Amino acid sequence: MQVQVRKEFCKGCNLCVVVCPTRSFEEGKDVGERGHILPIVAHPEKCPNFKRKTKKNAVCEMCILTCPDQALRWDEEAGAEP
Amino acid sequence: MQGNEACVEAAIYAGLRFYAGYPITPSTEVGEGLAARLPEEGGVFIQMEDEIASISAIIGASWTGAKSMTATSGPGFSLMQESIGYASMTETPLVIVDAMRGGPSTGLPTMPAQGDVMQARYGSHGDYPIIALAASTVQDMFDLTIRAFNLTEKYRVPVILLSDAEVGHMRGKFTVPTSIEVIDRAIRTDKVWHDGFAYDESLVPKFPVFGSGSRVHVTGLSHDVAGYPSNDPEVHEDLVRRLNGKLTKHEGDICRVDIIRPNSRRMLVTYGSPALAAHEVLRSDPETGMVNLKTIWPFPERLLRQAISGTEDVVVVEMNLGQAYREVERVACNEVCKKTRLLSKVGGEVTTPSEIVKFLGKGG
Amino acid sequence: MEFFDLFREDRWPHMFCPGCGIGTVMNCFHRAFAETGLDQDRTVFVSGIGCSSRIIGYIRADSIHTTHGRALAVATGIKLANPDLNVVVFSGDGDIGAIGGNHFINAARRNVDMSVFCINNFIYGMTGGQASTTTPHKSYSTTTPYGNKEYPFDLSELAVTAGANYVARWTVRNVKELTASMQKAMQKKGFSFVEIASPCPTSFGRRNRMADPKQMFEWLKIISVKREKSQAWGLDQLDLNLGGQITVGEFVERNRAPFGMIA
Repeated sequence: MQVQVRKEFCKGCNLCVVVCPTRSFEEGKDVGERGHILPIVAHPEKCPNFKRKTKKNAVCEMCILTCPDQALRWDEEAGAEP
Repeated sequence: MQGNEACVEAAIYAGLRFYAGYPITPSTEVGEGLAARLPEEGGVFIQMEDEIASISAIIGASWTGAKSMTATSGPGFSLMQESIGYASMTETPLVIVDAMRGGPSTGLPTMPAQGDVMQARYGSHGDYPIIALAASTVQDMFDLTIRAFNLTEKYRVPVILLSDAEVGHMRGKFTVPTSIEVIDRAIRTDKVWHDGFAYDESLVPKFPVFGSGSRVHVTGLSHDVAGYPSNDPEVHEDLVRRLNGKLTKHEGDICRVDIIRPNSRRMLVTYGSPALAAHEVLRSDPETGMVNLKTIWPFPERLLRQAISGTEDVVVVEMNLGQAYREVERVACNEVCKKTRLLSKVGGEVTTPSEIVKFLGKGG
Repeated sequence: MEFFDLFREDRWPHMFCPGCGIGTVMNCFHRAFAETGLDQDRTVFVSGIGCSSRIIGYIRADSIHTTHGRALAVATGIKLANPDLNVVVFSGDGDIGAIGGNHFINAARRNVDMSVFCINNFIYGMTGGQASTTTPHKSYSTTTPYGNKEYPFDLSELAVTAGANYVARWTVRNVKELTASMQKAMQKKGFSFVEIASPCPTSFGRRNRMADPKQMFEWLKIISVKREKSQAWGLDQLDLNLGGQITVGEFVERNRAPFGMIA
């Protein structure tokens, strides 16, 4: 599974970029609905949960725990083939 | 029994469950009495670190559904004002006993005065509704304490019971009626996740008790019917007008005065301990009547106007530099101009019958 | 329990600034609350005034947003009137350390059973950036344009001295430890106090050369130190400028009888 950025909530603080221990995120270039420049999940394969199938056994989750706007969530459909 | 002690028993009768207070002369006996009596009745007593903590604690307790009260005097009453406004805004039922004493400031702690009347109405900021009752005897302390609880539970407006050092400390007999009506707040029983402050034609929302699954949000910010903060001017106007509308709509039920010989040639308008002196004067002066303002706020305009419509000389007797006087004068002059005079005494000693007689003799 | 089972999705996106630590506290609180298994319908949230205090308006539970500084007194009334309710207080450094200081030390002294989460952003954020009682010495704010002449409170040490049963302090970087502490606080009887050092890029950061949330996060990393290793550890060595550091960790865990409860 992969982390997904909810554009309607994200305010572009980029703290996810800072806290991710594997540097999965990068600052983006596109402007979101509310005028913020949103981060992107540039390297989803670096995330330790990339090969997991369900959020129930997720590890780390520093990005989701840190995101002040609750803009990050798991997309269980995306990611590596199970 | 002492006036303060009668208040204690009446509160328990009315169903008081939570008292938080801070000692201050001359109301301390109310707290001390409840410290002993409330636990006997299964209620909770706590002495808080100051008056602001006291009123804050009773606000919290009231939201759990408990009937709550505190007692104080002028300096403590001043400290509580912000939270009184908060209780009014959030429609939190509670009773505050203010045993008035000589002021301003520390003043005369052990002696009566009536300088808090305007403060009872306007002490906090903004346009908020408040009910204030005034006790003049030990019987009043009993009856009006119960009435205070009934009014606050029915209308969800904070009620201030004004007494003074004289009424609080005097000893006298009183009668406990064989049947006393006790009113409890109307409870909201359905889930209120999106309309905790919805109301019907009575303008009083049903009360969602904390812990019952209501998930209601309460705030002192201007709010919509969901209880969520809102700074929409229309929402704000609706709210403030409804809050104050609760009193205008139910004025007939809320306002009560005691009238003896209405429309006499001369009428004494008074409340609290000077009413005792007025009673004395009426005994020997058949041409004088009196109005005892058992309800001071909302000011009982209609009842007063009826009582003085044929009067030539209206005399307001109070222990301050003229507070209820301003309201009486306004009412008296509203339709037909009446000569309204003030017999004022700053406080420390109760107005005496002979002082009233002497003042009446001077003119009017 | 999903996040929006506990929070009011109809009020999202919330009002907090980009990079505000309060948002992170919400995430940690959600996880901690879910772990405790407490009944959401029997939990009451209380707050005062300030950005931190707005958090409870977003929680799907009985909540009361009171006057500035008085949250702990209101919470005391709620808990004593109905001891079956769980009481959680969200407040800020000004609400607890300035105007509410007296209620803070007395509530800790009484050891009323409640969990207090003090989100300390070292400033008065809601009103535009005035100095707080926890603003570091020499920092800039709108009321200290020449640098703060005063020294800050150490709210956690205050709570310890006043008698709280559990005291901990973490920054919003320590998300795992913070979640564990919040859970412990809610499960422990007596007065639990968790102070959360939080970034306010808009008010504090902007005036102290850390306007970007990433810069404030970096500052929190540099300035925080585990309690055992800090120079300000222990009351006898208390440097009122926090030793130039924010010490994080658990300060005290004891079992004084909670107020009103038969020991």
